[in-house]
Amino acid sequence: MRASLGSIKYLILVLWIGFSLFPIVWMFLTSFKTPLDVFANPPVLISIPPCTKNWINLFAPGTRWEGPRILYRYLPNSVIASTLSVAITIPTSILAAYAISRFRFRGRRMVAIIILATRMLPPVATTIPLYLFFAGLGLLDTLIALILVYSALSVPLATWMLIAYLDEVPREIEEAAQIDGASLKDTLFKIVIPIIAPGIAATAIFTFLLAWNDFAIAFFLTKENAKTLPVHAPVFVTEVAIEWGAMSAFGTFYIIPALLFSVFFSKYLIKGLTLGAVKR
Amino acid sequence: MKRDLKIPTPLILLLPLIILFSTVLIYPWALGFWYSLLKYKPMYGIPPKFVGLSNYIAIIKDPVFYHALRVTGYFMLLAVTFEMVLGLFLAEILDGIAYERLRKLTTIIILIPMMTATVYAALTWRLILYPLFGIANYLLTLLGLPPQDWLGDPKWSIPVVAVVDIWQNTPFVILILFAGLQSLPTEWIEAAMIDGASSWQIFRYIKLPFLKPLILIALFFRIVITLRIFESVIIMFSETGGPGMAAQVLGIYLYWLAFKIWDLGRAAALSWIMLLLTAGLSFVLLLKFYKEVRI
Repeated sequence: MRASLGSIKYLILVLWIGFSLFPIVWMFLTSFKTPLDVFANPPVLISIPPCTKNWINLFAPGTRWEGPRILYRYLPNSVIASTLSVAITIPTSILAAYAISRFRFRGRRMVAIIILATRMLPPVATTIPLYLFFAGLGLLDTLIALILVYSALSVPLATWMLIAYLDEVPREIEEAAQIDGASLKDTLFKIVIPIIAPGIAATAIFTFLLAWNDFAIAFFLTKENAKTLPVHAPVFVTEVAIEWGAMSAFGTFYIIPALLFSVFFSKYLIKGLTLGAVKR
Repeated sequence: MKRDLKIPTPLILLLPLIILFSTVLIYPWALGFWYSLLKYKPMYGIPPKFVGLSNYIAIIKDPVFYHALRVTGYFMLLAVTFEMVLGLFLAEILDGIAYERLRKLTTIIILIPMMTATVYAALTWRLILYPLFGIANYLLTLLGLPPQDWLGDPKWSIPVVAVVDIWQNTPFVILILFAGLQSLPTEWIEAAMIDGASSWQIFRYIKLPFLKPLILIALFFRIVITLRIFESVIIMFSETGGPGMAAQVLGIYLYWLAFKIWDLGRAAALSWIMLLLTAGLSFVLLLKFYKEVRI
């Protein structure tokens, strides 16, 4: 009885792992299939030899999905928007988290609750006010608009995560430094930030991916100039003839950063995720 | 620290956040509220006109709105139920793995879908569920079951979107509950085992009560976040909202108001309704959970 229960548990876990990985592997394999193999019945796992045509096609000129624009416009747009939103979010959140974690000021609880509440804002609904706002400023379809919005939407999660990390650091170290005459700036940059560096790294990755993975905001606020990679995805599927090979290459290309981060930083990401959601 | 320094410093530290929030969130939302009171259809060249609450009234009287609410609610129920049950179950299994290496490797694999974009998740599931040559139907026929028209049959529209969400977001529940189980004092389990408790009893009477606050937090986040479902529907079914509008969730209704019929006044009103729905839901849930959870 005991042994069989144990094996059922492992079976379920194995099934879940298969369920988790299969879509990613399947799309990856499909991106290296010949058109004939894509439609094969029964399905073939892999084309032999692997066909790189889909990948070449993905970036080739004259296709329906405007291959070169992916490389010269949408990819750089995604990279710039994600990176700069990290550059704004992280300093803003470190300062805010430090204020909330270390100072006992009036309205502190209120500020913390407001920040948490902002996390609940549904991005889809926020797009209309933002659309009207940026239309008024003439900033529709610009990267500036995207960067500002991504920063504002990641600050709540980032601040929350950083508060959790800061709360783990004993205050005595900072207090000792301040008794020795260290200024607030010195305490922050020379003591606090180095101690919570892994936490900052995890927070930065979450912030980066929030922008990198966003579809709703960019879909509403951009047209062509500031269009990011995910907003280009519908081009591959809304037409009558779906080019599964190129679509699979596009999808696989798009998730490379997410895969790399999950594999190489999983320890910090999991810790940040659970801390940010759980603590307080 | 000197007392007279305490008052201004937090404010200075919070200043960047305050500026960012007030320019990019609070002001646009206030502006959105003003537009929600206007008849504003820029594409038709009609000058904006103040109409009071009539945009809100029009939405509340619109059967499509209730349809969207129902569809969103159905999706929420389906996705969240599976995510919570699977999440709890898998966290317990993961916690039971004795080999640390294997446990770490498994955690990494579990994390991956969560870090990928929803757009990606929807693309890859579309590839799997494609009726003609998709591998899902092939597997069904192997089991002797009839193939399904996953993307064309209205009865499957929401379940299919839910599968994408379950694939992507069950990891959130697993990882949070797993972290909880890891922090459970081992002495409790050992003591129970000495007293002859079965593994079911340990789960039911020790682990479950211990996890309760975390379960409620995970449930809270999942409920509030599923309300914003949008991208997977767009990718799976384009802007039409699926066959027979079977997947026309609130987000799609909003898109349709704003960019199909270009009624930006009414779209702004719907944004506010969605905001109030989220706030109301969060408030009710927090009130209900407050005794268990210290958020």
